[in-house]
Amino acid sequence: MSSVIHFQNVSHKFKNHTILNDVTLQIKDTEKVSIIGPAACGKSVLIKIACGLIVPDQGTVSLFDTPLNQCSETELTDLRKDIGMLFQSGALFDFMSTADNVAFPLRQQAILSEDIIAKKVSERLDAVGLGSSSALPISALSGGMQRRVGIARAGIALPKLVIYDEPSAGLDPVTTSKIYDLLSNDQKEHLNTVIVISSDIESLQKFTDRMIMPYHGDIIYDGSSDKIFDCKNPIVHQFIRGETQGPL
Amino acid sequence: MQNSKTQNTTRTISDIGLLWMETCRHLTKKRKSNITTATLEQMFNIGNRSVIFLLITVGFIGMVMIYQSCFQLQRITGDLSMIGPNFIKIVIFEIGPSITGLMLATRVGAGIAAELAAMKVTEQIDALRMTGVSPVEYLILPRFTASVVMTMMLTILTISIAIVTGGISAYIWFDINPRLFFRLDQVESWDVITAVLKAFFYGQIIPIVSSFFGFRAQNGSAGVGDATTSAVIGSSFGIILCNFFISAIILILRDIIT
Ligand SMILES: Nc1ncnc2c1ncn2[C@@H]1O[C@H](COP(=O)(O)OP(=O)(O)OP(=O)(O)O)[C@@H](O)[C@H]1O
Ligand SMILES: [Mg+2]
Repeated sequence: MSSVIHFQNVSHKFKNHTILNDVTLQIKDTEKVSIIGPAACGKSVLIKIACGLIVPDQGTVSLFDTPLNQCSETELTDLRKDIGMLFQSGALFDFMSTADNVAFPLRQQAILSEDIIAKKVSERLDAVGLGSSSALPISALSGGMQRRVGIARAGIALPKLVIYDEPSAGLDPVTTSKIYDLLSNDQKEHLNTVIVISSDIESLQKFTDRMIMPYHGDIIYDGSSDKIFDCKNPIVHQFIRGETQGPL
Repeated sequence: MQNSKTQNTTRTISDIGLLWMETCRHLTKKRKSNITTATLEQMFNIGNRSVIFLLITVGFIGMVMIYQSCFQLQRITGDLSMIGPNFIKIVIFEIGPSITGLMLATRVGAGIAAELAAMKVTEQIDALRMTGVSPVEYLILPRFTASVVMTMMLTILTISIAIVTGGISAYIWFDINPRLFFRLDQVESWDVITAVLKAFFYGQIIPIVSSFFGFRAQNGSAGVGDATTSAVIGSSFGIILCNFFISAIILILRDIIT
């Protein structure tokens, strides 16, 4: 199995706030990984570093076995064509309609004809329960609807790596289950690598095989999703059980 | 403190230069995505945003300039026969391009900066990058091309309007015969070359400087405001400097050649 993301001794800090401290980490092809951790522990920054949106202070980050520090902007742009990403903020294009947002990655590939794109987009929007909202501008969508448009956009081009930053934030339990089913089916069909950031431990345990927990610069848990409840680290212990008493 | 400020300014200028070079590189590169529609849309935007504004401003400037110069000239020499040709000359090589440039810097520059800055702070630019799209190609290039074309066209328009309003004012207030006023005998090809060059470069300065500040925006809505202000100040300043250099270079060239 080839590696999709590889961090070698990566360190990064904002002012005096250490996000990563000499972290070495590898995510391989077809893995399903979740990143968990308390608010502001650096989950979003971690994946942005992985995609080259943030350049780390030290260390080497490789994406699909290509070291990013040796990439030109053009090569980086090409590498990213194989990644789909749901931003925590949604980051939907507010100058386009819902359908155009979802169609955007496909149009950029410039492989499929408009007819096929339109069909795929409507299938995808149906899958996230937004079939009837395709013509609406982004500003007319509710927060949860925007999240689902983001999810549809991230996965539509069947990228080799899909990253979902908080896919279930603001969604009701039923929709959340449906979304995880969709992600799971996608992954089964296309065997791509999936990274999910979320705090919904139960759903993540069902969907992903591996969990990573960054905290104060270190990776304090990196292992099987099933065994996380056996972890002795007091921070992990407290976090996954949502207890109020403890080091957090 | 002083030193770091100077360093920052130097850094900003060189970064703007780099962005300009990258945009030009994309201009010559073979592109997969079709940006013609986007460019036409931007051209329409620029025209739509600025035509009325430009016409009114430049119309009044033409009137005031003629009124003031005729008024002064009448007191000194009393001979107003050469006012028209000289006015036309100065409007072509200086007033027309510069007023157009400065007005577009406020109208178009502010618009570009605000739009891109809003996209930056809502992570839309990162989202573009993540789709394998170069933001320079997708966002700056159409604005750049549109701005160059429109600045040149609008410069022609402002020059014409200034000359017409000038001529009308001269006729109404000082009874100068339009046949005496509308003469091109003072206009040399150098003046036209200067005007074309100025419009060409102003049209590049505005989108590049404004996009630069838009792309650099951070810290939410306050950042959008800062980017817009910096874009207007930066592009106006760039235009004034560029005006100086083009005028100087043309003067020197002209001396060498003739
Ligand atoms: N551009 C930036 N400049 C300065 N600090 C930043 C920047 N981006 C993130 N940070 C800081 O880095 C820390 C980690 O941010 P990050 O967004 O990764 O948190 P997170 O783990 O995703 O949290 P959440 O679960 O709330 O989304 C935060 O303290 C944040 O203030
Ligand atoms: Mg986050």
